[in-house]
Amino acid sequence: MMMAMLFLIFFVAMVLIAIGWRIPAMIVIAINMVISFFIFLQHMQTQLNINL
Amino acid sequence: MNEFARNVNAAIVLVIAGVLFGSIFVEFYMGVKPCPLCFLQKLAMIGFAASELLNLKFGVRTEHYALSYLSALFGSAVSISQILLHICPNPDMYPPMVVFGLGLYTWAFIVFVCAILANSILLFLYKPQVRMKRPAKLGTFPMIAFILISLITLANIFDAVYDLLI
Repeated sequence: MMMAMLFLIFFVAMVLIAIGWRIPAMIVIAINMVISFFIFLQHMQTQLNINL
Repeated sequence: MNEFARNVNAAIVLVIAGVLFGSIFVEFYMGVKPCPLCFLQKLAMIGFAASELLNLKFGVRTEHYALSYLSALFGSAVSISQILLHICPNPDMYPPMVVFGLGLYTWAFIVFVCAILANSILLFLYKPQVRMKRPAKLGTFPMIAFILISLITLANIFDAVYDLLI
C-alpha cells in the first residue's frame, strides 16, 4: 500500500506541475524521494536480516 | 540553447516512459511479479521524469537538475544493491529476469547512469538566461511526454494495488 501511496504522491506532483505550482511540486518530489530512501533502507534491513 | 535543452529533456522523458511501459509489459504479458526493489526503481525513474517535466514547464533551472540528480542517485543506489544481492545471494532472493543477457535491475542501473550522463552534459552546456515569469505552454512533443508519464504513473498506482491484492 505504501508503494501505491508513493506513486499517488508522484501523480499529485504531476498535477501540481500541470497547474503551474513549481515550488510545491519540487517539495513533493523531494519529500517522496526521501521517504522512498527510508523504505529502501527498511527493506534491505529486513531482507538481509541485519541492522543497518 | 534553452530550446535544445528542453527538447532533450522531452526526449529523456519519452525514453523513461518507454522503459516504464516495458516494465508493465514484462509484468502483465510475461507474468513476472515485480519485487519491492523494482517498485523503488520505477519510483526513482518517475521522480527523474517529473524533475525533467519541471524543466519543460517552467524553463531550464539548476534546481530542477538537482532534483533529477537526487532521483537518479537514489535509483542507482537501489539497482546497485539489487545487483549486489545477486552477487551474494540468500535463499529469499528474488529470481532475476534476464533480457539480452543482463538482469532487469542491471538495465535499470544502466538507464540511471545514462540519465546522470545526459543531465551532466545538459548542465555543462547550461547558460543562465532570463527566467520565465509564467509557466510555458507545452508544445506537442513535450505535451506527449507529459501525458505519457502521467498515464504511466497512474498505471503504476493500479499496479501496486493489484500487486497487493493477488
